[in-house]
Amino acid sequence: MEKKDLTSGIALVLTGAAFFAGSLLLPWKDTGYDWFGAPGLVPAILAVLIALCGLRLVIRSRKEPDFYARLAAGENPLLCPEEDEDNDSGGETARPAWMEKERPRAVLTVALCCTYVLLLGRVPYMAATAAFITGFILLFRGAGILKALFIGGTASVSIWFVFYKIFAVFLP
Amino acid sequence: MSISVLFSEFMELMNPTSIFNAFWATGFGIIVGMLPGLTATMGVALLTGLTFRFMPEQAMVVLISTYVGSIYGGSRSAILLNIPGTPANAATCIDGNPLARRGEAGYAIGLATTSSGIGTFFGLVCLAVFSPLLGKIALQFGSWEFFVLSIFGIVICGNLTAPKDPLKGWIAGIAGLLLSQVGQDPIQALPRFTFGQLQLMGGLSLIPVLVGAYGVGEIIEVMQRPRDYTVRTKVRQVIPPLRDLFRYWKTILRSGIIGVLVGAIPGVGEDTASWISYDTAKRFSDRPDEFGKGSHEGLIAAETANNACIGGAVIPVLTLAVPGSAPAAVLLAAMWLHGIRPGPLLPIEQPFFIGTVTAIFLLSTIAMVVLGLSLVRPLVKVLQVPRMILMPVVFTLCCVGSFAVSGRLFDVYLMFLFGILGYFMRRNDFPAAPMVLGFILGPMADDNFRRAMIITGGDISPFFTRPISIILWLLTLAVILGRSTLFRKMLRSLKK
Repeated sequence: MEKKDLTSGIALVLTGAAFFAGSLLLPWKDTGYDWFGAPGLVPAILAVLIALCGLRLVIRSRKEPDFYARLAAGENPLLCPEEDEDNDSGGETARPAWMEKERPRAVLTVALCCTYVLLLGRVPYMAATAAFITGFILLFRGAGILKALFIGGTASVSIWFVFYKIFAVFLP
Repeated sequence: MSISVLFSEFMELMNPTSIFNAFWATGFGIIVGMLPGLTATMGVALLTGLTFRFMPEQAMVVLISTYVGSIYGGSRSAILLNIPGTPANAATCIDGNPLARRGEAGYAIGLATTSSGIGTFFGLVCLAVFSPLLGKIALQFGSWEFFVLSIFGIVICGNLTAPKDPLKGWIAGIAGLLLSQVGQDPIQALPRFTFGQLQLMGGLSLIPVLVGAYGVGEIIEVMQRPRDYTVRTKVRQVIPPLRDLFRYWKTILRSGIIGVLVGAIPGVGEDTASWISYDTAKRFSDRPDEFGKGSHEGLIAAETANNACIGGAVIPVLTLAVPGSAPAAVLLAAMWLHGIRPGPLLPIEQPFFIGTVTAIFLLSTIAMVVLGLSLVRPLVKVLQVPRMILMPVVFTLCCVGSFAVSGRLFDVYLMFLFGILGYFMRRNDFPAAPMVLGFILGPMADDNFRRAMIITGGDISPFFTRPISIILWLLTLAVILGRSTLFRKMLRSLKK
C-alpha cells in the first residue's frame, strides 16, 4: 500500500500543479469583477488543496510505516470476501492458467469494453452489441460457441427492442 | 405536510402505469442489489438515462423504486452467499449468513424483507414530517452557508466512507470538486479547462461520470476475481412470525432513527447507517453474545437502518439540493434532468412535490414487500447466472444509459474513462462516493463562493461570522481534528 500511496500522491501533486497552472491562464482581470470574481479562483484553491493532500500522501508513504502496519492489521474481511467453503466456481467451463490471475482478467475486460465503445457509432448497434456479448462470453469461457451466439443475439435484440421501441431511447 | 395531502398524492399515484412502473422497477432494483458488484447507485444511474423520455413523475416512480429495491435486494446475496449485494448490506452478512447455514435461509429472508419494509416506511414518515421543517431552515441559507455546507458535506462524507484512511476520502471529494470545474463557469460563462473542445463547454455530464465510476469500475472489479460464487442453500419458509418483530420493537425504532439521521448527513449513505445501527443494537442487546452467530436482532438492526436511510438521504436532496447518499446524488441529478429544481425554493415552486415523493416511497415499499416475499425462488435463480454472461449485458446498458441523456458518443467515451478511473480508485482505496458528491456540489461551491465574495467586495469574514456558517465550520473542524493523530496525542497529554 505504501508504494500505491506514493504513486497516487505523486499523481495528485502533478494533477494539482496542472490545474493550478490552468487556473492561472484563465482571465483574472477584465472579468467585470475584481480578482475575487475571477473564474480561476475556485479551481486554483482546489488545485492547491489537492496538491497538498497528494504531498501529505507522499510524506506518509515515506515516513510513517506504522500507519500502514495498523491499516493492514485492521482490515475487515467481510468487505473483501475470499473463497467460502459453501461457495464454488459457478458456470465457467475449463479455464487456462492466466484466468486464475487478476491482472490478465482486468486487462481483458478493459480491452473488450474499449473495443465495444470504439465500435459504437461505426458499426450498427445490434451487430456491435451481439459481437461484444458473444466475444466476452467466449473469451471468459462462460459458455460454448452456440450458447454464446444465442445469448449475444438475444440480448442485443432485446436491448434494442426494449429501449429503442418501448422506452423511445436513442441508441448509439 | 398533512395526512390528507399525502393521501391524495398516493391516490393519484394509484393508476395502472405507476403501479406497473413501481413493480418492475422494484424488481429490477432487487436484482441489481442482489448481484454482488452492482450497487444501488449504479442501478439508479443506469435507469436515469433510460427513463429520460418518461414523464417526470413516472421517472421518479421508476428511480425511487429502483433505489428502494436495490438496497433491500442486497440482503439476499448477503444471506445466501455471505457477500453483500451492495455495500449497504455488509452488516447483514454477519447474522444473515449464519442463519442460512443452519437451515433458516427463508426465515432470514423474511425477516430482512419485513425489517426493510418497516425501515423504508419509517424513512418516508420522517421525509414527510421533517422535509418541510428543514426547508424552512434552508430558506435562511445565503451564498456563505451554501459554500460552507458543500465543504462540510465533502469532509464528513470523506471521513465516513473511508473510516480507516479519511485523507483518501477527502482527496476524492476535492477531486470531485475540481472535476466539476470543467466547462463554462456559472457567473461569466467563460470556458475553463475545455482545451477548445466544444463537447466540454457544458462540463462533464453527471450521468456518464456516475455510471463510469460506479458501474464500469464495478464490472472490471467483478470480472477480475478469479472465482465466482453460486448458491447452494435451500430456501423454505419466508414469512417470519410477527411476534419476532414485536419482540424487537425497540431495536426497530432505534435503527430507524439511526438510519434517517445518518441518511440526512450529506453523502454518507446506507452502508454507514447499517454498521452504526448494528453496533448500537449489539451494545443495547440483552443477548450480545448471539451477534455474529445468527442473531435475529442483528439482522433486523442492519436491514431496518439501511432502508430507513433512504428516506433520510432524500430529505436534504429535496430541501437543500445536497444528496444524503450516492444513490440520492443520482436521484438529484435525475430531478434536474426532468426540470424539477430541488432546494429551499421547492415548496414554493412545486408545493406538492414532497408529497408526491413520499407517496412514491409508500408505493415502492409495498412493491418491495410483495415482491420480496412472493418471488423468493425465481430471484434466487438470478444469483446463479454466471458473471461472464451478466457483465457484458450490464456494460451495454451502461453505454445506452450514458448515451441516452444527450445522444453524444462523447459521453460513452467519458463513461469508459471514468470507469477506468473508478477502478484505479478502488484498487488504491479511494472511495468513489465523496468524488461523486464533490462533483455534484462543485458548481454550488464555486458559484456561491464567488457570489459571496463579490457581494462583500472580497471580504471573507462573513464565511466565519454568520451563525449557521459558524456551526458548520465547527462541525467540519471537529470531524477533521477528530481524525488527526497529532490532535489526539495533544488531548491525551492535556488529560494527563
